[in-house]
Amino acid sequence: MTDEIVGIDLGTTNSEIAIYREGRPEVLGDGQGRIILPSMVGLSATGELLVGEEARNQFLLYPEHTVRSIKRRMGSDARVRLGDRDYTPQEISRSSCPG
Amino acid sequence: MDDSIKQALLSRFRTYLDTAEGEGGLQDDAAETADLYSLFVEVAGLRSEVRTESRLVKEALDQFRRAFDTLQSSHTAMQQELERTRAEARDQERRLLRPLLLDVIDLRDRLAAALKLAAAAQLRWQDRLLRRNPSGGETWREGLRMTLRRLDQVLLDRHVVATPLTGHPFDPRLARVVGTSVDSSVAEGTVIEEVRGGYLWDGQVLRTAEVIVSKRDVGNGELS
Repeated sequence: MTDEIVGIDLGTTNSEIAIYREGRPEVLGDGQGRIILPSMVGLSATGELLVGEEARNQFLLYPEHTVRSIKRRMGSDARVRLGDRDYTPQEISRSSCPG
Repeated sequence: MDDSIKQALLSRFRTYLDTAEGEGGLQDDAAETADLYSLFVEVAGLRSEVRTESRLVKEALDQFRRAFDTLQSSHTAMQQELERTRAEARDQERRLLRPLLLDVIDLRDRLAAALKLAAAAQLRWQDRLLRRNPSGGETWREGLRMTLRRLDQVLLDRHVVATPLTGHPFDPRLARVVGTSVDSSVAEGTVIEEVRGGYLWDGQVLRTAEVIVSKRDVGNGELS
């Protein structure tokens, strides 16, 4: 049994992921050390899944391939189109938290 | 034969027999029995001692094995701890170095902008006519160029390299779109201009570039 606990704060605009290990909490950052991650998910022009900062980077160019503020639709029956598939808000939220 | 001689001979033979019985014969048998017994006792004792010694050696081997296992697990744990400490030290070093490198890049951007402005500055018509440069502008620009080269070398020494993006397909891992423009001469999604240069550090993004990308003409298609 591991003594590591991961907590995710899924926000409407930004999210944070923290881990509790060796008796202390630590907020995890992305590859560039940023601890505040945009709550965005997208598909690149080549069909790769983009999460957080990378999804936000392409938002102006491909808004139709980028989803943001999905938290507002959580719990509803809405379907969100991403690429050639429809997803529930819960599925999009799961993608936006890779940790 | 004379009786006295017979008696003397018998007496001497009797004496001889008495002496022989006392020194050898039964005495030898008894001694031989005593030696076999002590030999058996000795062998039994030796056997017991060998068993005891074997048990001790086995216990010692078990203890040694346990000690070796403990040592080996301690060594493994120490190796893992060492690796973890080294990785943490590396991460810590990179965390400390990252803002400094970003500051150096920012400084480089400002110097490059200053050089661009200086190059665009026009001399007054009197100075152009007399072919003179009263403020030593070219010398100053050369100084800026030298500083820029030095900064580029400092960044290169730390494996920081610029990411040339203009003319390439937009990559959301390397750049952020800050504007789009209609440009029919290039394919949609091609980087037209770098507003702010991006940099890689050991193959990982140190600074995300900010770019303007071509987009299909939808509606009026102006720069957004």
